[in-house]
Amino acid sequence: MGGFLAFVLSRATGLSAFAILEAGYLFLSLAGLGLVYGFAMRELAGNPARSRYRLIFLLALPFGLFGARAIPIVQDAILAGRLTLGLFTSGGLVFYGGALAVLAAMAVGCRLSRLSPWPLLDAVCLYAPLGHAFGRLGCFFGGCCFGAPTECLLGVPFPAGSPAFLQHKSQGLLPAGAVASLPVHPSQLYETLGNLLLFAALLFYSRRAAPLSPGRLTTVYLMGYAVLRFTLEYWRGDVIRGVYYGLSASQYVALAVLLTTALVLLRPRKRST
Amino acid sequence: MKRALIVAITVCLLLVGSLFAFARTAPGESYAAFADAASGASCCEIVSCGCLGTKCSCFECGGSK
Repeated sequence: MGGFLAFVLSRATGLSAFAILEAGYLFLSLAGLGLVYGFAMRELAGNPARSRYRLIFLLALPFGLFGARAIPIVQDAILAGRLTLGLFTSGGLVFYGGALAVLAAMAVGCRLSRLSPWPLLDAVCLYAPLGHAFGRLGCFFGGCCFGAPTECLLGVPFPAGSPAFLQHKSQGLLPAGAVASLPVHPSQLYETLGNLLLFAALLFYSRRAAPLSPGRLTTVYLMGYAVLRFTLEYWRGDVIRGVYYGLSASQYVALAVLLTTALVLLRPRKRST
Repeated sequence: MKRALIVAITVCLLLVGSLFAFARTAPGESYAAFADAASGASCCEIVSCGCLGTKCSCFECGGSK
């Protein structure tokens, strides 16, 4: 969709389509990360270890990138029946893998630095849905993570060359000479709105009168996002994300996260003496 | 802090509305013109095949799927 938008804007304004496209990608990719970083550091303003938390945050980012690539590499390797260099160098990114890897890296970094991980993790998880909302706009812009075909009012066609168009073409769903995909659910925008609602709920929960126990916000975020992601996957239509026995890879991850966080929330608390 | 949050959420909602409105209202001729322009090059050169401009597992971008 970004290429098409840049093309239309370029024809209307005379600006370079490539420049418009790159500016859009740059803004959407950096806005989400920048918001999480900025607001999380602001949240830690009164913490004496803030500068160390900042360093751990930044050092954890490459691990997030690795985690985001890990799931597609495993999926592609299973599909191909072997692990080749090409599987590492080309392929997609999965938010869930990245988020879990970056949170784990932050937790390990804090432990190694003899710091409690919870101030950092709670601050990051509070603002993660806001950053993720911008990230999903980037998905809509790029055309990935698209929805299932629909005839409802919300359906949007994606232009020629987009992943949705290519998938529908390869499935023989498009007539000869088609210039766009079938109308599909704008699942990326659904997830943007879902993330904003999750953020509002977390913000409300974190600002209530009684102080939350360390790690509670992290647990609630992971649980809330697992429910959101599991539900929204039913409106997704991209087969490339991997569907096994009726559930997508992300739904299996969401179920595992939901189970783990539920166990954490339900476990008996240690009584302080 | 509160003002920055309100601005961020407002920008996000405006982008959702603008992108959705654009996708819904773009005329068929624009799609056709774009398809014409795109047909001269591979899809990988014209459109990002996945997240944030990287060549995700797109059907015609050399991915395994």
